[in-house]
Amino acid sequence: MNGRWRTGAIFDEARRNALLWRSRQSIAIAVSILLGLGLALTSASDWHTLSRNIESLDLRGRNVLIAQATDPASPAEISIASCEATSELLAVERAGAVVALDSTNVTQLGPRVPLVGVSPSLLPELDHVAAVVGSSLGLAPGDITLVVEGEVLTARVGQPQPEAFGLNSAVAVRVPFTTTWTRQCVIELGDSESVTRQAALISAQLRTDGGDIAVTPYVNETFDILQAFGSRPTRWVPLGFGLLGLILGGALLSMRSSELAAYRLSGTSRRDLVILLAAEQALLAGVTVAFGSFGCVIALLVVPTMPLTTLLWPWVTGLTSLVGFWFVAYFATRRSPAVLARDR
Amino acid sequence: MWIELDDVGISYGDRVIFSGLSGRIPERQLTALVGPSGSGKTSLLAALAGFDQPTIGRIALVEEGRRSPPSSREAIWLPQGANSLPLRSVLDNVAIAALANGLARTEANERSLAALQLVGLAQRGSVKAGTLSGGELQRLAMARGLVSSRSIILADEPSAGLDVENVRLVSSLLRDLTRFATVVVATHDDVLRTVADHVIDLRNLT
Repeated sequence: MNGRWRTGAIFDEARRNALLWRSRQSIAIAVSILLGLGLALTSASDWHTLSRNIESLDLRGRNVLIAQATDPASPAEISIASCEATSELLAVERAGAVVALDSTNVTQLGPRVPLVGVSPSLLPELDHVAAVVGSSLGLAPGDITLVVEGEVLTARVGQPQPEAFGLNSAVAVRVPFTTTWTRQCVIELGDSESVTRQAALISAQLRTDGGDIAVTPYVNETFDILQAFGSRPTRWVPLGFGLLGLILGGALLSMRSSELAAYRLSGTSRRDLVILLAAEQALLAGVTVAFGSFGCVIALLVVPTMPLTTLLWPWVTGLTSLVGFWFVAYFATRRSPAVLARDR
Repeated sequence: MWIELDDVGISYGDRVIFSGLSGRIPERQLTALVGPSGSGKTSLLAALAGFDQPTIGRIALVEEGRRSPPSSREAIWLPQGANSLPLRSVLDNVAIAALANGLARTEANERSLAALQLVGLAQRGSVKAGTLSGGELQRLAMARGLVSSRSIILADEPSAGLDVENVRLVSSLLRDLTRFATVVVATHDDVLRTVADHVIDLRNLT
């Protein structure tokens, strides 16, 4: 006998107290489960919204730069070779020239169908087929044979392209070999690239002839969607839920004065009592972490764009409630056992 | 182990509860602290348990000539009304006193069962403590005192709210506890007063 709880016994006691499926303790367990699942749901919802917004902007041409003459009255041309060369840059997803050609008759689509010459570096399907049919022209997706002005071409009905490319309502073919200059160079940057910074760098790479050219974003975003996501209020949810867990734990503790007295008056030292209470809270925090992690894994499978760091959310919540509760327990057990005993 | 009281006094602010208490509480005897409400019985018990300090004077636990201050390692407090873990079994409620003393769960349960046998609660070991009557809660507290292996047992109004039969039972159990420990009882009860070996009256010490 040493006047101290054995380590195993104290954790066994915490398990018996914390995981009682009765009365107020069942509320604590239920809330812990809900907090965990709520975390996963909030995170999944955030990322789903972000993905939807980015997809919608991507369809318009988010992160797409257009290089063309500053002043339409003084035409400027860009070397197609220099335009296509920008696709080699690390920050660039794809780039190439878009040259308007005469409209043409396509047997399957009708007369006067817009025809554009496009660099394969911008539309890689042109490396495999002679023509790419815009997704808005009403043909079913897949490879087809196209009859253009009586000539048979292998073609593919393409996926929707960013609106900025101007290809969804046209038939795209390779830029004719004889054409070496273009009035428009289209550059699509990587998702996380800075449009303004890259515009200046790309502008310096392009070889031009005639008037001045400007490299400008196709979509003028009024706010940075990623920055807005980074400063969204729901990013505080893990901490907020941790504080909720702490408040719940503190409220339950205040209802347990008589129980705390029972331990203290049975010879449990203040230190052992703090360890016991912290272990009980750790078990509840563990329930939150377990259910939160389970929910996050499911959410990751449903919303694949979610980052793996989301798995840290339940841990932030669990640790916040545990560390906060430790302070509460530390002060709650400072009262004399004789006073606790009277406080029923 | 006996307890030495040397000119002990307790005050709250300017209000003197009692003063000038000297003497000894003999080893393995039943000592009753008597006096009206507010005379400082519970405050003296808290000082004997080491939870509080007397305002003046000195309390010492004496064993084989060695003096030490009161400590919860030596004394166990059985509060008025007996605090319990209402959702846990009676056995678990007793076992915490043994577990707090460093015993393993199996040994703590064995001792607790034996103690429940002694206080007549063996049949109620598996029920929730929240369902016990006042008398049964007092007996539960005494079982805790037994398994705690403390040399001093301090009981605060153990007969409060009990019927005559339960008061007799509790008095008898307190006497039995003197086989293992020095027992000090704060009480208003005449039955307890008469069964005590030694009485300290706080009435005339203000």
